Parts: sequence; C-alpha cells; structure tokens
Amino acid sequence: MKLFGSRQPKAKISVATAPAGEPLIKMRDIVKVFKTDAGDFTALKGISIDFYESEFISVIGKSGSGKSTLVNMITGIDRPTSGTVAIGDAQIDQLSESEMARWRGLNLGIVFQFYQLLPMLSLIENVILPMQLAEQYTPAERKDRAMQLLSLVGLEDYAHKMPANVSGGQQQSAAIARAIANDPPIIVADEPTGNLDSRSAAMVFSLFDELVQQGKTIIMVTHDRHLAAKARRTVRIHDGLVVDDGASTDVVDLSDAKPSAGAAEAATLADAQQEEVTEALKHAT
Amino acid sequence: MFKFRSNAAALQSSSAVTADRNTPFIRLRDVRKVRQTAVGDLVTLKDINLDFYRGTFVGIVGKSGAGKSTLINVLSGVTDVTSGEVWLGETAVHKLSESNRALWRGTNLGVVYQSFQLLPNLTLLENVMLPMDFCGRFKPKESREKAMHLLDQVEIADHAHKIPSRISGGQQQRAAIARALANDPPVLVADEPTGNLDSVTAETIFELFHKLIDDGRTIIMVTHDRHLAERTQHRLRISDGAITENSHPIGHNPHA
Amino acid sequence: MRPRYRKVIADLWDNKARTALVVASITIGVFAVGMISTAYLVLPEAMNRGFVAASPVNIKVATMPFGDDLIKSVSRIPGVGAAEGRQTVEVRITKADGSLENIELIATKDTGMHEININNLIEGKQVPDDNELLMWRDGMQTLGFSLGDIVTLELEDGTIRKMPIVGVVDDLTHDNATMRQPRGYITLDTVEWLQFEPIYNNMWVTVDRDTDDGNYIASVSAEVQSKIENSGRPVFFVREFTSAVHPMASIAQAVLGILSILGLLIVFLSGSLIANTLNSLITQHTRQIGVMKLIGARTQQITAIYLIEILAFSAMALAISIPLGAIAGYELSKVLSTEINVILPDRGAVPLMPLVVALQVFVGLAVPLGVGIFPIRRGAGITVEDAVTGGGKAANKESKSWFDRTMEKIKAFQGPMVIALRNTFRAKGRLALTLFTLALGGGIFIAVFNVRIALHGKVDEITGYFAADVNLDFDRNYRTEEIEQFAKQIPGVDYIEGWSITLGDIHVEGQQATKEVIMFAPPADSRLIEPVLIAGRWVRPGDQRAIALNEAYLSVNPDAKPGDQIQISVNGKEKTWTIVGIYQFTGLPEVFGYTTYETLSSEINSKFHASSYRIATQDHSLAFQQDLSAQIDAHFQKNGFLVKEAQAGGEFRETMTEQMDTIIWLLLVMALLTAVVGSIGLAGTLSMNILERTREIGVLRAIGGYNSIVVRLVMIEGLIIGLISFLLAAAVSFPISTVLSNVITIAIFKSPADFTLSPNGFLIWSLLVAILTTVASLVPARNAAQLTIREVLSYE
Repeated sequence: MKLFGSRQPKAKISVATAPAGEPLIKMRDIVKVFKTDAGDFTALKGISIDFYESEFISVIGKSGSGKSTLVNMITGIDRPTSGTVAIGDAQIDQLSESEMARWRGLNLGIVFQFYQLLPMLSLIENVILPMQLAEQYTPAERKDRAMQLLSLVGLEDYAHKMPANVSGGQQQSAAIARAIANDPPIIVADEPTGNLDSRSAAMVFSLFDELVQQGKTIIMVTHDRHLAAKARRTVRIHDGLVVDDGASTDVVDLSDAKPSAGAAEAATLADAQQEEVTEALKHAT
Repeated sequence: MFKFRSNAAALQSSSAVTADRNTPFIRLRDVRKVRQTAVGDLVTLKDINLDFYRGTFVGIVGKSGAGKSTLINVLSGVTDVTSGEVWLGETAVHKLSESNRALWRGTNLGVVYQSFQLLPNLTLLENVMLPMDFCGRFKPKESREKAMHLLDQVEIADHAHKIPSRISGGQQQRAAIARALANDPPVLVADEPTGNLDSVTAETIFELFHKLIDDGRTIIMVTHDRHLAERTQHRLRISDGAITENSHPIGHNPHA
Repeated sequence: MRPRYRKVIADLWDNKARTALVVASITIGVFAVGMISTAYLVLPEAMNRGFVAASPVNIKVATMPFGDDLIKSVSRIPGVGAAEGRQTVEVRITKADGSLENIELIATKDTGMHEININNLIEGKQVPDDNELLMWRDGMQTLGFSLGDIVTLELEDGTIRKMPIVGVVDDLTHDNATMRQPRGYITLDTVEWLQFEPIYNNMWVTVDRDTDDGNYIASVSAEVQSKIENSGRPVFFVREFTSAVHPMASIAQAVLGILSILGLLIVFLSGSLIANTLNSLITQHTRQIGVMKLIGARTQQITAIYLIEILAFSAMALAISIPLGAIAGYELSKVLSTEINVILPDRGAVPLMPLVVALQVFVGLAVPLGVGIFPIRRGAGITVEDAVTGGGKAANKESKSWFDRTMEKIKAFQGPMVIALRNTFRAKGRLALTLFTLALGGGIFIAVFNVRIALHGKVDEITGYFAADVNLDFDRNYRTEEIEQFAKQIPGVDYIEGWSITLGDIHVEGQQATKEVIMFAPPADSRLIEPVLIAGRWVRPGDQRAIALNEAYLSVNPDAKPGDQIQISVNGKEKTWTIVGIYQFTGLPEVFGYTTYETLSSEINSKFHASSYRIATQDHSLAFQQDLSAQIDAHFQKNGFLVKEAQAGGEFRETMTEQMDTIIWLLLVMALLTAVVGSIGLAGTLSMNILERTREIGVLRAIGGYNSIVVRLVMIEGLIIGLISFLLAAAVSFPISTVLSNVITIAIFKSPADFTLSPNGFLIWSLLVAILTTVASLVPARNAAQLTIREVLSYE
C-alpha cells in the first residue's frame, strides 16, 4: 500500500540454494548488543559459523547463552548489530521487514516453542496459509498437499478441528506440518518435541531425517542434551560465543560442575535424566 | 466483613507456631489434581504424599509437563486440590476458599517465579511494600522501612526507586525475592528462580537462599538444572504427575 | 502513599492514550447532559420571566377617542392593575431597498416609559422625542435599517415625512408572532405630525392578579367595558389575553425535550464505549491481577483498586464536562433565544447551576461504575493460575458456524482474508457494542435528514394557504372588477382574486372571554388555497354562515368538531355560525377561519367589493414576487388607489423555513455527536483487537505475511464492521425518523408529519462511515505493520 512509506520494488525473492560443497548459511562476525534501560547487554560477541545443505544441526546452551538470539539472526526475527548473514544469494541482514517476511515464506519453516497456530483457522487451514501467502501451488493442490502433510504427522483425522480443540502435542505436530508447507530449504525448530509422546517424537525425527536426506537444512534449538544428540552436528553456545561448532574437533570445556556433598546422588539424578522416559506424558490422543 | 476479619486473624497466627525443626511443617496427603481439558480429563497429580521440614532446602526436578508446576501451585494455594489434604502448620489449606487462600499465601508463603512478576509500573520499593499493604500486617510507615531493609539485604537498596525495566534481570530477581520475604513468611516457593540468570548472579541468589535456610525457613525450588538440584538437601523427582524419587520420604527427617 | 494507590496513579498515567479514551467517552455523555439541562433550566424560565416582567397587556379595547381622565377612572376599577391609552396608526415606509412596506406606529402618553408591554432597549434612546422614531428590532432587519438612519414615511395623502431612528427596542411580549409586521414607537405629538388625531383610540389594561385565569380577565374586562360605555363611547371590539406564560414556551420546551432524549441516547452510547475500553483494560491487566493475588491480595481488594481507577476517570471527565456543559448550554440558550426575543440572565463566565451539576455528577459516576463493574468483577475474580499462565485456556470455542461457511463462499474471502472475516467476529461482545453504537449514531444521523424533509413538507403544507405570489391590500374596499382590470395591465400577473377579510369575535360557550378570529373569504372558485383538513370539510358555495377553523381553535375549545354551532360577532352583529371543518395551520395560537365570499361580504356589506386581493404571477421565485409586488404597488398608487400594502407571498415561507432549519441544525449537532461517539468506539475496538493479537501478527509475519497482507487484514476488518453497521443504521433510521418527525411536528404544528424519505441522509452517512472506518483502521493497521516480530514473540 502506497500509504506506508516507499513501495519497495519487489526484491527478487527466490528459494535459497548453494553450489555443491558451499555453505547455504554463512554468518560472519555476528555481534548483537541489546540496549536496555539498565545498560548495554551483549548477547552475541562475534560469532562466525556456516551451515550446509542436508544438515541436521542442534544448537544447545543455557537460557541467556544467546542460542535463541543466534537463531533469530537466521530467521530474520532479529538483526545483528554488526556482521552479516548470507543465505543463498540473499543478504538477510539487509532485507526490510516486509521483504524478510516474503523471504521467510519461501525459504524458512519455523516451529515455535509454543506452537503458535492461528486460533481462528482449523489445522488444515493453518497448513494451507503459508502456501497462500507465498503464492505457492494452485488452490486445489494446496488442499491436497496440506492433507498429505497432516497425515505425515498423524493428524489426518483432525484436519478440520480448531487448535483449541486438540491437545498440545497435536498442535505441535500441526505446527511442524505448517513449517514444511512450502517445502522450504531451511527449517528452524525450537524444542519441537517438548510436548510429544515418544511415538510422535520418533515420527518427527524420522521425518526430519528424511527431509535432511532430501537436501534440507534443519536447525533445532534445545536445552535437552538427549534430544540434541539426535542431530548429527551439535553447536554449543555459552555466554554469547560458540564453544563447539560441532564441525571441528576442538572442544572448550567450560563445565562448571563442582564436586559437592550430594555428588553421588547428583550422579544418580543425572543418569536418571539420561534415561529414556518410559511413560511419557499422557495426551488424550 | 467481620467474619472475614476473624478468619484473617486465624490465618495469620499459624506462622507463629513454635519453630520446631523436627516436626514436618508442610504435609501433603493423597493429593490428587484432575484438570478438565478440551480433550478430556487430565490427571496432573496422582497420590502425592510428602512431608517438608523447617530449615530445609527442597529441590523438585522433572521433565516439562511432568507436574512440577502443578505441585508448586498446590503447595502455594494457587490451585485447589481435587482430593487429598494440604497442611501448613495447623492450617488446612485444602479447606480454604480461593480468597482466603490468597490472604493465607500472602502471609505465610513467598513465591518467586522464573520471570520476575514484578508490577511493571511501580518502583522496586513499592513492589516490595505491596504484600504488606494487601495483608495489612504493618502500618504504612513501618512497611516502608521494612521494605528498604529487605532491599538492602538483597543488595539492591540503591535501586529502590527505579521501576523494574530499568534494572537488570538479576536485580529484578533479587527484588522479587525481597518481595517474597516482605511478610516474613516461613516458606519460600521458587519456580526456576535462576533460569534466566547468568552463573554469577545465580550464585548470589543461592547464597541468599542458604542464609534463609539457616534462619529456619523452608525453601521449595523447582528446577530443570541438575547442578542446582545437587545443592538441595531434600530432592524429589516428579514424572507424569507422580513422585518417582524422593530422597526423604515420609518419616525420614532431613535434620536427623 | 500506600503502594496500591500508587498503582492506580501509575495505571492512569502510563497509558495516557487509554486514559484519554475513557475520559473522553465519559465526558461526551456528561457534557451533552450538562449542555441540554442547562438550556432546559435557563431558557424557558428566562422566557417566562422576561415576558411577565414586560407586563403584557391583558385587555385591549378599541373605542372612540378618549383622554387621560377615562384612563384614570378605568385604573380605579378593582381588578385592574394598570391602564394606558394607545393610539395605533399605519403608514407606509420606504425600505432600504426602495420598496414600500406598511409600518405600524404606536404612540402613548410617555412613549418609551410606558408600563404595559414594556420595551427592552437594545441601543440608542429609550424615549423618543417628537418626530423621532423608536424601532422594533425585528422590524429593523426586515426593513434593512440601522440606528441613526433617516426613514421616509408616506402618508395617506402622499405627503412625505422623514424621521430619524433614535432607538432600537425589543418587544418582549412577542406580540407579533406570525405576521412579523414592522413596528415603531412615537410620541403622541408625532402622531399629529403624521396627520392623525393625537388622542387615544385603544385602552390597554393589565389585571392585578391571576394573569393565567381567562375568566377572571374576562370579568375585569366586562367592568372596563361598562366603564367605557358609561362614558358615552361605544366599544368597537375587545381582545383578551392571558399573560402568565410566554407564548412560545411550550415549543421551546418541546424542542429542548427532544434534545434531552437525544442527550440521554448519547450517554447510553458513550456507556457502551466505556464498557469496551474498561473491558480491554482489565484484559490487559490480567497478569498483574494474578501477581497481586499471588502475593496476597483478595478479590475485593483488587475490585476496590479498579473501582478507584474508574472513579478517577470520572473525576477527570467531570472536571472537564461540568464547566464546558454549562458554557455550551448557555450558548445553546442564546442561539434559541435570538429567535424569540428573550433576555438571558447573566450568570457569569461559567454558568453553573446546582441541579445541573448534581445531574452531571450522577451520570458521570453512575454510568462508568455501572458498566465497569462487570469487567472488574470478571477480572478480579480470575484465578491466579489462569492469570499468570496467560489465560491461555481458550475462552471461545472457535467453531465454524453456518454463517462462516456461507460467508466463505464469497470469493473475496478466500485465502488469507478469511482471517479478517473470522477476526471480526471473535470478540462478539465487543463487536456487538461497537455495532450498536455505530448503528444508533448512524440511525439518528440519517433520521435527521428525513426529519428535515418532513418539516419542510409541513411548511409547504402551511404555505398552501399563502399560495398567492403577491398579497395586495388596500385601505378601503374597491370593486373587484375594477381592480382586476388594472392588475391585468401589469406584465407578469397571471390572475387575481378578490378576498374578503375581517375580524370577528367568537363567543365561546361557558367562557366569558371572547376569542378573536381573523376571517378570510376567498371567492368560491379560488385557485389560491390548498387546505389541509384535520376534520370535517372545507366551505362550499351555498353554505350559509359556515366556517372552517384552524387547529388553534382546539386550544380554545378542545371538544370542537364539525357540525358545532358557535356564536361569532362580525361587524358588531352576533350570529350563529356552523363549523364545517378544522384545518391544519401553523400551530401558533392565533385563530383563523375561512368562510365563503358570499357569506362574509354580505355580513360586512361589501358585495362585489374587496379590499384584499391575491395575485398569482407567472414566475413563482421569491425575487420575481418581490419585484412584481413593488411594480403592482406603484401602478395602483399611480392610478389613485389607496394601497395599504403589496407583499410577496414567498416571504412567509422563508420565515417559517428559517425557523425549521434552526431546529434541524440543532438536531444535526446532536447527530454528529453520536457519530463521534460511534467512531471513537470503532477506532477503539480496532485498536484493542490489534493489541490483543500482536502475537498472531508476529506469527503471520514469521510464516510469510508481508506488510500489505497485514495492513489489508486490519482494514478489511474495519470495512466489514463499517458495512454491517451501515445496514443496521439504515434499518434503524426508519423508526427513529418516524418518531422524531412526529414528536417535533406535533409539538409545533399539533399534527403528525407524513412519512418522507430523503436519500441524502443515507448517502452522506454511507460516505462518513466509509471515511470513518478507513481512518479508524489506518492507524492500527500502520502500527500492526510496524511491529517487529521479536517484540511480539518474546520468549519468557
């Protein structure tokens, strides 16, 4: 609409690709400083990292380590204070909000931590929406494709239900189906299986594996080491820096475990944490 | 109106019970919580039986959705129980109405959440004074002095007149703790209190907690982090709404 | 200060836009109440007080010339308050534009200092000297003069006299309602200079008490008449008037009554606006309420906090609307009063009245508290769990109804736009309130245009009695044939009718007082009258002493109906007449009657003669009428006829239309106020909707929603609401139009209006709604488009 500032000429938005062997996502010297009323806070302190096609990457770190901020640079949800992000041919850090939105529609599937389905649309309508926004596929094709995607995550019988009428786990699965609606080359997922029972979680991971085989890049953010291990490559972030980019063999040990009184018990607990949860949360599916 | 006031009196006297460390202070018996959802009944707590003692640091761990938050909510009277009993001292919390539970909570319990829950448009000092204002325990002038003292104890007295958005996360958390202590509660309940803090700040919080334990308070903390869990005395694990591990089951006194 | 009161202050101060919105909503309603109540209390009271203070005349007796001694002896009659003599003469005056007009000049013993029908001095001298003129203000405007002008008077024999205007006065008794004839005041000596006898020919008397009792006045009048007759003078005629209440008081009250109803409607509408905003406030504070309950606050403490916030809003609104309402009410009274010669008491810069203030305080507190108590109870009752976990439990079940399925068949709503459609209907309560406000406001707006047409229609009806283009009156009767001959010599004259006109006195059964009736008798085949009958029929050739009376007679005798026999005294002889019909006229109190030419001319002994003529011209425009009136006047004078007056017929319609339009303007102002309330409501609703959906907007952007999609979604929502509200407004305008026009026309004309529709109202409102919805959605749409995702999707 002309009313809202200059109408930017539609930058050529295309699907991102990279020549063989070259990284799809190139992040260079990313610094992010947040200005708060309490002073400047540097969340990312100069990160350079590459991601390739056909890669399943997990990004792990404590709350406040900067892992979410780093991933926000890729999704364009946030912009670096300095540094560049290149994905395919696009300089992501240079795009306007609107261009970014369009680019995301074609190139990125995001799975949020709290599902974020639009409450006034049914599950299938939620899955169709990205296709409509990015003008992909014909209307008839969209419906079929959406049903297919929903069956992939086991929700074909719930296609016409509203999000409020299905369980958290089902919402999460629907969100995953939505994320791959436009067949994007990159998928970013934030704790994608947090609310799923083990069977559904397994289904999701095998789906991810298949997508990776098709050439997609999947970046999963988590603070659960067990889940992180499912990815082929794990990137560890601590205090705004990459301490292990998963690609090299250098590992900086910054574990702050101190021997304490209850060490033995702590070990028991740690092991317990590492065990597969035999009975997952019950979800009336 | 008058009936209400006498209730209040009854409620407030429960914390004056003798500070006996060897009798369980908080008791949960056969607590069950069922939630109605769009997709049917969900049992979030099953047959919980627990004893907590004064002067103890309790840690509760478990996966997301295992029931940690529900348990905390039951302990703090935020949620009522579907069946079972919740005792704090001589008070039958499970029998209180929602309104009385609020008053009971204000006087007997300090609650600290992961995100700090300070009112955004009041200063730190005013935030700390609020519980005293609502529960009517101190006169306005007294409560002001007390609030300053508490802020001093958590080492942010310099920021007393700032609003929350003007201070760092760690400082906000400390302010939240000061507020939780406003009415001198015997129990502090904390849900991931250091989740959003860096390790240095987290450490300060922990030192503060230990001081409070030494004073005879009970601190019940929920956490994901195994390092933090290691530093508690009484540890329990909840999974699928049931206690699967308990370092001090009923009858087992942590002070013994 | 206790922290919870600090919270109240902080809540009000930190979101100034919302505070302003709530305060504005309350202010509009309370302001309307204040404005109208002030006018309601000030105006009618001032009207009556001014009227009574002017000592209006109760008894007018026309008799043979008399002097001061008769006045003295009449004033000694018990029951008489004061007595004065008057000499009233008519001369022709040259208007500022050169045309001629009749002016009535009144002289009395101490002109200017007289004590009956006291004048109110506007400017210049109170008391004219000899050969000086004191002009009535209305007359000044009609004639086009200003203070100091020298006017030219033409006497019967053609002599010219020139007099300066030395003073301008108002006649507070409003003695000249319908006809608005120019009037001036001169000394008795000046009368002689104008070639009239310098003695009184009218006795004016006021009674000492019970000025509203017609019978008492009649009894005093009888005594006065006896006294006069005993002095050897016959009484030509007598007129009696009650004088307790201003003649226009009831109309003023009716108009103000209607405005009051509209004012109440505005309060009602603003109440729905307040409800919406308070609802949104509570929803946004859900988290804080949870926190407060977490740290020990009970439900009633929370309730008290928010009730105090509402009281604060009210206090701010009252601080603004009480003085503003008083000032506006006073201005409103002034506007209304200029039409009717009323002096308003000086109440200072801000005319506060205790009753009005009390009413405003009541409304300003009751409405916000009344509508606010519901969301507050809802909010204060929320459990900590729900509040702190973000109230994520879906309140609405979000299911697809048949309505949704039907709507989606519309092509325009395929794709992402279905989101806009469903979003519109999500917050149903809020939508209902918004639609209600806009629909009612729009309905009133459209209705005002329909009412205007209805009122103009009424005016047209009435001026059907003055369908002549030129009204020509002579000082004496002339043969109609002769006049017609001369008239046809003037180009532009279509045809001419001779009418017989006289004054009669109706003797009403059971009452001592007589009622004056102005009687018209057009020729049997008159083409220049289109009566509108309420009952019975019109007079017909061959009727013997039949008369059709206007509705004013019903105020004299409410039981009057066709077939009744009444005694009318014409030309000194009282005879029995038959009422054949009652017709619709202006609603003002003067009684008019129509009878046949044969009847009347024989009663006044002037068959084939008439002094009054009605002329139809070829061009009916006012300008042509006025032009031709001047020509006719000159032509007849030149030929030796004693012309009293030639007046353009359209002038009467002009005057009436002006008065109607004043009322219409008032209604339009009220309609605009309601429209303002409606649009604030719409803007507020759209903003609140966006505010609560920032997360969804973030998600939309995250999955590919670019700017124009986001903007479009908001604007379409606005347009849908606008469209639905327009349809509702159109529907609701029908009953409102009917009620409003009937109430007004019955108040003024004593009969209901014909139902009329004006497309203007619909067109203008549809345009306004389109503009309003666009503007009201633009700002929220802009804001929505500019939100960055990180702001809205911030993780905890």
